[in-house]
Amino acid sequence: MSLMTAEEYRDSLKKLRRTIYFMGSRIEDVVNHPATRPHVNAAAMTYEMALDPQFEPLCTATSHLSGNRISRFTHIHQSTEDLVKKVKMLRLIAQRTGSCFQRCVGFDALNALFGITYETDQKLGTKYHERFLQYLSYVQEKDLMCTGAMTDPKGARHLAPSQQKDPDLYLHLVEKRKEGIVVRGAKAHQTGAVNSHEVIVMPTAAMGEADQAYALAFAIPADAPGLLYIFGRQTNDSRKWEGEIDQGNARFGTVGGEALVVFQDVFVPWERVFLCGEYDFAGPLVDRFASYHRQNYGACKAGNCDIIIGAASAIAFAHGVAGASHIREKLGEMVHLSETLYSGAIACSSEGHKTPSGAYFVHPLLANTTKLNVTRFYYEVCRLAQDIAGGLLATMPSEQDLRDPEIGPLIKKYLCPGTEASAEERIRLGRLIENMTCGAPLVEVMHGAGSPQAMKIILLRQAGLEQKMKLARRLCGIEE
Amino acid sequence: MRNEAPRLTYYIRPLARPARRSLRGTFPIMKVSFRYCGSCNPQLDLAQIEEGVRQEAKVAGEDVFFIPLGSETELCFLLNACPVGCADDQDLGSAAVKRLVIRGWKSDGQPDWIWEEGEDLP
Repeated sequence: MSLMTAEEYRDSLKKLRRTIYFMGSRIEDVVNHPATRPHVNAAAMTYEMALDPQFEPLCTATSHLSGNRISRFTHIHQSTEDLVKKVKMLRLIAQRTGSCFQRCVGFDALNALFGITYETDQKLGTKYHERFLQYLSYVQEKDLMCTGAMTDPKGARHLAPSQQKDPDLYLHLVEKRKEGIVVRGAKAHQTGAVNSHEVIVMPTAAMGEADQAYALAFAIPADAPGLLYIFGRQTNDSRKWEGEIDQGNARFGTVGGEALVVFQDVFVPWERVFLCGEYDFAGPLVDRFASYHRQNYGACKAGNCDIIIGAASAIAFAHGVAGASHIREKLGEMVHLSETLYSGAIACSSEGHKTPSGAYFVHPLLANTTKLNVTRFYYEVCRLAQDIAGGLLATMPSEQDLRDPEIGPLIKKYLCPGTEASAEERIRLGRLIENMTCGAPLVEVMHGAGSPQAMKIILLRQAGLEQKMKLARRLCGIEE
Repeated sequence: MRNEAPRLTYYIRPLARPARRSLRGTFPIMKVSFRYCGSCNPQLDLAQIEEGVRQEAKVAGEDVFFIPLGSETELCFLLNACPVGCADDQDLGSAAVKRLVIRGWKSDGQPDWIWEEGEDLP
């Protein structure tokens, strides 16, 4: 058994010597720093649940390489059942964190690279898959958390990587040496980057011959020399220094804790290079990773919706309006939207297929449809939750005032809903809804795993419009 | 197969026959384990059901010993939280099984469940 406990995971992060900046200062201890602690807690939940017999069937799997019991987050999907279990696991964990637990990004990077390195080798006679298997064994054996680094800063969006004024706006090859390669550039919006053990880098888009230097995939330890992390701000993040209630979800925070990761001439040994110049495979790698990742959004967001729906329902009870027909209507609508997301994730998994490497891949059309739905339905769930919660969501007094011996009793008197609920319970529920439905989480569901247009491109590519036109023509009597 | 309300008294019934055998020395101590489906359905707290079985055995004075699922397991409770029933009986060797089966959901949203005995339960 190669599974870390949550405490071992936290301890392992303390051993990494990396450079992280936030608000003009260095973060020396990601485990205990208020800005990063909630995200560490959320990721630690993936370790904790893997060791709980109740959740082990979903949160662990049997390695097809070693036969050992491993974290599902390091597993290569061996069947459509594995793909379905992934979805169930993600919803399950999200129900406990109410925020992003970050580990799916590396999970999807491992699965995408497993297939693409195999296919590259088959076509070009390279040896990437063998290298990758060595790396995968290492990750599985050590139960490591990997961040999948795909999104380059991109500069001028209408220009290809090789056409940018500043070549560093896409991560690129600087030098090839006998022992490895040197790379420079950056990856933006990297979820879980500051509390992962490994960084797995992939190209960000399909590339042409002129972009060879940008067609790179590799893995490096998170504290490799030359790596620098700039941790991003979030909505209301200064509340992490101001007590517990106003954070809404003090233990697990909100979204994933993203960072801009800068590669300042980082050396990568050959045994960790999985693509170097084979530009034909950059696009397929992006598509493979993206579809796996878009599958996830119908799962973890359904789990987050479970919390939002629960909080909206609870606050309706607190307000004494739970039985009102319009509240029931809205809650029903929220459930409908949430379960539609989940249905998509299950469907794209059940309709998955075996790839040449033996790993299973989701149905890309259904996976992309699922994520596109998330960019709309999650917003609607949040809108309805805010509708039910009422205007207090934006006007609640602070925890400090609630605790103040003079002001506190006034808040408790005037914000008491007059039901069995107390003013504090009402505020706590309101803060949780605020945390999950305002600011950063909405942007995350819009752009995480790619912006809506990226999904539309794949939808149109996969939809078979020609065939649909034939069907329509045949039915209305137009002869071909 | 029984079709009864899931009161605690029913959890212990599968243990009764093996326990009686223990008086004759066939099974000095019945080694009992649990296997979960994965618990993705939060409507049912399977950990609470496991605790119920443990308490039931304790109150009834059953001659059982709860162990982690493994080769020594003689009776395994398969705990499922929805009709999909992901807790299967694979790789259980000669262990007998007692399966919590969710047949669906009642009109009040509560699970409609039964305990189902495996073919080879002594």
